[in-house]
Amino acid sequence: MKYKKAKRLLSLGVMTVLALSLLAGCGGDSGTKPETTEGSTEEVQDAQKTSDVSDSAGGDAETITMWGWNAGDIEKIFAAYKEKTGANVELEYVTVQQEESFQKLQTTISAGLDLPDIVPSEVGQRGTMLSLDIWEDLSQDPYNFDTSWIFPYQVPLCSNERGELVALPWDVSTAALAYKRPLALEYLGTEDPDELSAMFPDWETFMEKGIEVKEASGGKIFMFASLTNVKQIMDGQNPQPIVQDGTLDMTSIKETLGWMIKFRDAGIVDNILETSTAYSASYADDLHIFYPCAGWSPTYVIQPNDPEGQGKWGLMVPPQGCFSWGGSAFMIPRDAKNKKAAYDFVSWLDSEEGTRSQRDVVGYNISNVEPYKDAEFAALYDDWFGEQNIGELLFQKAMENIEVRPVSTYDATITEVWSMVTEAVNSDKSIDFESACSMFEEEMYTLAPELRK
Amino acid sequence: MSKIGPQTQGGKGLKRKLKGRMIWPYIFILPFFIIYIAFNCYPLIYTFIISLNDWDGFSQPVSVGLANYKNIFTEDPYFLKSIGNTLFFMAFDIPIVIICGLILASVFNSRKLKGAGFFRTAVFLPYITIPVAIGVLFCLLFDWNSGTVNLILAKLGLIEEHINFLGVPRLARMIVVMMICWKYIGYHMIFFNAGISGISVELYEAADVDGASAFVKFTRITIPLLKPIIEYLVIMNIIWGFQLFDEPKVLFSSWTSSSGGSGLMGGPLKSCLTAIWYIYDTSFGSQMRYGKGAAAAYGTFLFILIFSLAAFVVMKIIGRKSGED
Repeated sequence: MKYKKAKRLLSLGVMTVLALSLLAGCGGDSGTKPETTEGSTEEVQDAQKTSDVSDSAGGDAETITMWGWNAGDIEKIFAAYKEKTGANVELEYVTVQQEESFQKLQTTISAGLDLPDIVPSEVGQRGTMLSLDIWEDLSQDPYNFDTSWIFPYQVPLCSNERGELVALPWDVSTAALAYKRPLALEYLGTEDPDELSAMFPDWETFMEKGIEVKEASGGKIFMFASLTNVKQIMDGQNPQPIVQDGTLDMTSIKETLGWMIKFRDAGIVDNILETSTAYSASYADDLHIFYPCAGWSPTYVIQPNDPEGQGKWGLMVPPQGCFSWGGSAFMIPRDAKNKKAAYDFVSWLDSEEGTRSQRDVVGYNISNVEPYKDAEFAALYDDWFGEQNIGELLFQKAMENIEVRPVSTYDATITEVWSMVTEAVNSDKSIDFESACSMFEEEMYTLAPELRK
Repeated sequence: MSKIGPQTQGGKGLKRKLKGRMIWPYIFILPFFIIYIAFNCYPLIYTFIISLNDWDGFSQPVSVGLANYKNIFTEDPYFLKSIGNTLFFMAFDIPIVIICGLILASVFNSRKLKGAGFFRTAVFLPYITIPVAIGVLFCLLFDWNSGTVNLILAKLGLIEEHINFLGVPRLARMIVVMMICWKYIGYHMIFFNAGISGISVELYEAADVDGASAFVKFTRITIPLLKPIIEYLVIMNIIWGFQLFDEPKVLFSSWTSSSGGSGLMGGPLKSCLTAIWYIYDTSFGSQMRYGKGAAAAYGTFLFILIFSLAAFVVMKIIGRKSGED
């Protein structure tokens, strides 16, 4: 009898533990969760609006929660921040894949979970992210970020469509045109960046020269490896908004597509897709002359793909000027717990001290204007570019006339449509300018039916 | 002796029942039902509610009635295209994986074959390979410029210009079918292998005595006795087919991009866009329309239901006819 009772009790105990452990998984962190129901974002936003900016001064160390994809470097930067400022804060860094950061933000909000104190954004999704009414306006009280700290071209890249500065830029994203010196010397007659820039005042001249190169090489040498490169540069140079006041404006699309199709038909661009391994391998071959190149490209793209290319590369101003490519920025959610501490950190990143420190500890080129006025700081040398001072071009020359398109809610959609149309134009030569434009337009209206014609 | 009324007796009986063994089965199956309600019923109902709203996950949901359903069936061409693509993949891969799985299982069960275990493992291995690895592998194999298949074909003199396998819609679809077959044939083979092992050897010996050929034994003994497994696999393949997502998604993702290039949603001209990929992209991709994504999920469910029922009915009819014969 006793044995039976014990067995029953044991079974009951096991079952209870099992049920509780399963239910615990559904519970979430109720202690820190905002008091809202799922889907009731209005309540979330109200709570966000009324929550006060926390004070980081005194007491126990505050812990800033930050999402991102550079764990190792951020740790070093944060250590430098604490050392330089004596801030009494700790960092909880949550690694999020760059391409998944937007989905993570979306699911976190819709599930009513806590947002971190600092959210990063990559430029492709930034417009869509910034349009959400969940961020602190960092140009307003109590932050009052001084935009004269950063390069002027970065302000529209960090402001939402209401004109609020809701992000602070991190790295300088100016880009130019990298070229392989031996090929330039052989087919263009010079490897000097200034001479090359003078040789190509506009894209028309660039195409004519490209045809000459093609003929001289028997069709073996291409100006670019991929049509995506052409799109990247020309679209980056065009500040004309694609969607304005809810209306699709095809002007800049038509300009870029027009050149892409002209270049394709002239045979001066290879048919390699930028997402393929063949594209990566093309950096080390002797078949493609030009590539778009931002400040991050030498370290993250050129060096790994052309490991033996020291001294082989040059950097020049592209026809019609430099452009912006990539770059990260940080936002602070309205309902973040440690907004002030988070702001102190991200604004320090953009300070003169922060910019200099980050160059020292991780070699990043951050956005504060002041250090770049010093020619020594602005100088940037890379073994792959030999003796050329690429910093002078990227941080000084590029700033003279760079123009950028303001970010928009539709940026993610536009990026997706560009991928589809570029692939189609690249694969199928029967697609002409008219049909490519129609394809782009139709796709935009399909994915965003609310757009006005 | 105390008198006990019927009500008191009934109450005591219930108490006894509750105290006794009767309650235990319910308690033991309770966790399953709790989980089922929490993770199956609740999401189903919640998804339906979302499908009646216009909601981006951030702002307040706006009730739109059946507008999302109207949109996916009459306005957005890609939902029905994604269903069409999915049916195309199923039309090719279901017969191939079932027939090849059956043939391989029969061959590997032959007593004449040595090293059957090795072959079984080799055929099954793709199934346990992670989808991302398969995506990268097929990207490398079928790349337009540097793909191994193109290089081999060019070296053999079979082609003059490289073939854009992943850029031409019809070829891209065939590559996806190939990927699915390569991955799932081994899985189907294991099912058939288990079935064949259960068939009595005496049946084959009796057929041998009657002078039946290997083909006759296969068609008259093996296949009829594996009918329940075939039926199960056909129904499940229809359900799995509609859930197809990983394989085409990884094939057109930018795993190999060195400069952060974005993948190609749905493959070239959306030729490989499957129903689940459509739902994913609508909800979490460029569009961020939870309501429309939820409506697409219910729309897909409708197609799964229709096609599974149709397959079930067709197989019942075939089964009845073959029984009459």
